[in-house]
Amino acid sequence: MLPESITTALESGTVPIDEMTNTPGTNYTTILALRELESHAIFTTNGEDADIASLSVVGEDASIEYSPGIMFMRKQTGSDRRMGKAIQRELLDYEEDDSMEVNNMNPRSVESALYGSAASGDDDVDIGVTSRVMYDTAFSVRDASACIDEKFQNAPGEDYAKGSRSTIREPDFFEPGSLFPCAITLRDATPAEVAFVVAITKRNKRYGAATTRLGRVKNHILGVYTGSEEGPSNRELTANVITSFAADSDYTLGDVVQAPALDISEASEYVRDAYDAACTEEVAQNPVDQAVVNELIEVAADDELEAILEAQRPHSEEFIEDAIATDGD
Amino acid sequence: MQIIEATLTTHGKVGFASREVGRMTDTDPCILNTALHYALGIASGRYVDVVHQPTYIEDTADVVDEVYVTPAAPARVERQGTARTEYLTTNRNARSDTYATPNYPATDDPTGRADKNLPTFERERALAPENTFRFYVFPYGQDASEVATRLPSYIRLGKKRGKGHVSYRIVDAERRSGRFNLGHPLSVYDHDTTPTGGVVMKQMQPTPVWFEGEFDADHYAIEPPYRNESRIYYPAGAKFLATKRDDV
Repeated sequence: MLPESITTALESGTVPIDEMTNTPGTNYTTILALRELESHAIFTTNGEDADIASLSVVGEDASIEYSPGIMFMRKQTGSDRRMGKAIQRELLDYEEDDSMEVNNMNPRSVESALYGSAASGDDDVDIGVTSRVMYDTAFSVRDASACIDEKFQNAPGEDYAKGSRSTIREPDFFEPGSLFPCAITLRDATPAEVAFVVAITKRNKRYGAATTRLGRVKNHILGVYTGSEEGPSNRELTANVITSFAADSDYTLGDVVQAPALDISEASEYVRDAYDAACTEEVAQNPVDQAVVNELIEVAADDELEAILEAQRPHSEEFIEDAIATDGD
Repeated sequence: MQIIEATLTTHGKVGFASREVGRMTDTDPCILNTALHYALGIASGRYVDVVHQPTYIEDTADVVDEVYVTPAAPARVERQGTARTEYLTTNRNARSDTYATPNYPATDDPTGRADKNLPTFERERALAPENTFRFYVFPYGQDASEVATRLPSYIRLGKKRGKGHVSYRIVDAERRSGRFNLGHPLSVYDHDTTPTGGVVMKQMQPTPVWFEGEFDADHYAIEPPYRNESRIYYPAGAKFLATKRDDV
C-alpha cells in the first residue's frame, strides 16, 4: 500500500482509492518532467521527416519566432503505455491478457482503466474508456536546425549486384542533448495511479521510432503539482526556458535556440520556475513537497509498486464494472 | 448585462475530424459549443462509455438556463491583423506495431489483406499551436465575474485532447430589439429565431452553424474586442440546443 504521507500530500489532486468516479471531476495532479535525449532519436509520423512547428517566444525586450521539433503527445503516450503494460505484466497476474492490440485489451486492468481503451476483446460489453492521463505536445528547446540532423541509412543486403530498391532513406534524427519540457496531467486519478505513472515516467527510457534500439531518453521528474485546475502547457514551459537562458546570460533569444548545447540543470530549474510561477499567479495548483516527490520516485523504483498495484487492481475492476452496470441498461 | 468574452489560444496540436476526404482528415476553423461546454467543465461526460451516443441534452440539463457558451471562431490577435488559421499537416503511417511488416504482392498474399482496401498511411490537418479563437459566455441571471472565476484557464480540445489557454474579459452587452446582422457564429439549434436573409450557413457535425445572417429579434450588442470598432450582435436568450429540448 501507499504510505499515508503520500496519500495525504496528493489529496487535493486525486480521488480516494475507493471513490473512483465515472463522472469527470476537478482533481488534477501534474507530473512535471524534462525529457532529455541521450542518443539519437527519431520522432516522426511519416517515417522520414521530423515534425516541426512554429512558436513565438516573447522575451523581456525582444521576441523571436523559431521552429522547434515536436515530440507528439501520442509518441509519448504510446511509449509510456507500453512501459505501463510491461510493468503490469511483470507485477500482476491477469487471466485475461492486456496488450497494446486495440481490439484485444483488457479494459478492467489497472493500466487500461487509467489510460483508456477503445475496444475490448469482450463482445458482450462494448465499451470505450477515456484516458485519465493527458499528455501535451512537447517542443524542443532549440530550433530544429540546431537539434535535428539527417542521416543517410542504407540496408542493401548482401547481393553483389543491385537492382533499384527502396532500402535507402534519410530520416531526421534528433541530436542527443535535445530537451523537451513535458507536463503529464492526471485527472481524477487515485494516489496509487499517480505512483504508477511516476514509475512509468521514471522507468521508460525509449521513445520514438525503433524504440527498442534507438531513442534513449532520460526523464527528469522535476516535481508533482496538485489542485483543482490544469496547469500551464509545454509551449509556455519551453518558452520560459528560452527566455530565462537569454535573461541569465549575454545571449539573445536567437542565440539560445541555436545554441550547440544547453545546461540540463539550469533548464530543469527554469521549467520548474515557470510552473511554480503559474501556480502562484494564475492556476489553482500547488507544488507537492519535494520530500514527498522523492518518496514517490522511490516507491516507483521498488517492489512496493507491486503492492500498490495489487491494492489498486480490485478498484480499477470495480470502476469499470460499476460503469457498465449503471449505464449499460 | 455583462457577459464574458473568452479568447482561446491553442498551445499544441488540436485536431478533430470535421470531414474525412479519402485519406485526409481535416479540421474546420470553428470549435462548436458542443465541445466547449465539456472543455470548460460546464457539462461533464463519462469516462466509461457504454451507450456510444452523444448525451448533450442530458449532460447540460442542469445548467442550460444558467449559462450559454457560443461556438468559437478564429479571432484576430491585433487590431490590424487578419484572423488566419494556421495548420499543421502530418502524414502518418498506419501499420501495426509488429517488428517487421512484410508487404506481399496482391496476387500472392497469405494474410488476405491485399484484397481489402486497408490504408497504410493517412494525413491529418490539425490546428497548429498559437491559433486564436474567440467565444462568448452568457451568464443568465448570474454575475459575470463570478462565473468567470469558475472557468478554467487551460482546457483540452479535440481528438487527442490538445491543450489550449483561455483568457477571460468581462464586456458589456446592451439588449436591443429589431433587425441586426449576426456578428458571431450561432449554432442553428440554439435559438428558435430564423434569419430573414443574407445567410451563410455551414453544415457541421453535430450541429450546423450560421456564420452570417440578418435577423429580426431581440439581441445583444456586445462591446467589440478592440476600441473604435462596431459592436457584435448576437441574438438574446440563446440556449444550448434549445430547439432540440422537449421543454422549450
